[in-house]
Amino acid sequence: MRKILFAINTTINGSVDHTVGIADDELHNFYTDLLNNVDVVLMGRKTYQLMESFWPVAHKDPRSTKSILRFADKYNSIKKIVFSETLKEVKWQNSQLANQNLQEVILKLKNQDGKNISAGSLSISLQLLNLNLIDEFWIAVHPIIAEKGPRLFDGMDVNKKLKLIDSKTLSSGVVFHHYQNT
Amino acid sequence: MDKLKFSIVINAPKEKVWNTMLEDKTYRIWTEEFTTGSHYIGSWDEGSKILFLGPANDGKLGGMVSRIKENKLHKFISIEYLGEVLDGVEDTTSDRVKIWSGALENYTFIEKDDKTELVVDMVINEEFKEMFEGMWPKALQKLKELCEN
Repeated sequence: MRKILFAINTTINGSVDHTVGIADDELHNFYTDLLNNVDVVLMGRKTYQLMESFWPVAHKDPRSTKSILRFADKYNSIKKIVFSETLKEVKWQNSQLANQNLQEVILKLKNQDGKNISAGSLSISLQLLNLNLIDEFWIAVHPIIAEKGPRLFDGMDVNKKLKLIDSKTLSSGVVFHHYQNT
Repeated sequence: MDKLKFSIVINAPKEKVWNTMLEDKTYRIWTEEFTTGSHYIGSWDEGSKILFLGPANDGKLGGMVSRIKENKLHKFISIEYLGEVLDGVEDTTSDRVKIWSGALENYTFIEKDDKTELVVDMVINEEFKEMFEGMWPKALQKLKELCEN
């Protein structure tokens, strides 16, 4: 049965400002490995535009390390479904605009065979969380107290308890907490 | 975009540091820390266009298209990023490169007795921040060695 996963970088004080964080090789490798069991990523417009401006041309940038390129290859080739009311088209490799609402798309995906589904953006994850549809969470807590930024899961409508499965600490001090829905 | 700042004290007059840092032959040596094959095409004259290039993973040239915003001889250089070079082709107009709009990389040369303090201010997208935080100090160390020998 296909599971819905959610992975996100956050700070000690819950900021999900994407410019804050330690994006080193180890982190990129961790995310690439997480995506090995995923074959579709769902995202909103903001994440799509942010990612699409960087990953498709990572190979052309002399600064890209091997681990950046590994992640780029994975993320560029994986199927991406973009939920947007304003975008008219999506040009990124293997991406498409959703032509149904999130719940309908999830239902259809879960009824098909395949690897897991990744809730790849804040907007998507919040909706899925409020529908209680996220099965597993990887929350990467960076050893940073952020001065600003949107808060993770701001807009939650209930208190939600999860079960801690395991944790992994990277050499940068980032700690990935792996939770299961209860 | 993240702002990064680096500095080093070099036992050489600022003219020597300026020339060693910016001349093609020595530029290629100290910038090896970033990518082997790093070089520039253009001039450091104020108002000039300058391309900072290196071989990307696919073997083709990639890098930054810039303009020298300010050049105060032996004291200050300000590089304004205009866009990127991909597959050897300049791009200063697509939506992608708008993130660089107005971003500056500055080199300040401060003379103290016979030594020079070189300060580098730059901006970088977050994917490369950790990398550059590791590479710049090594590159500046290499520059220091070139200037002092």
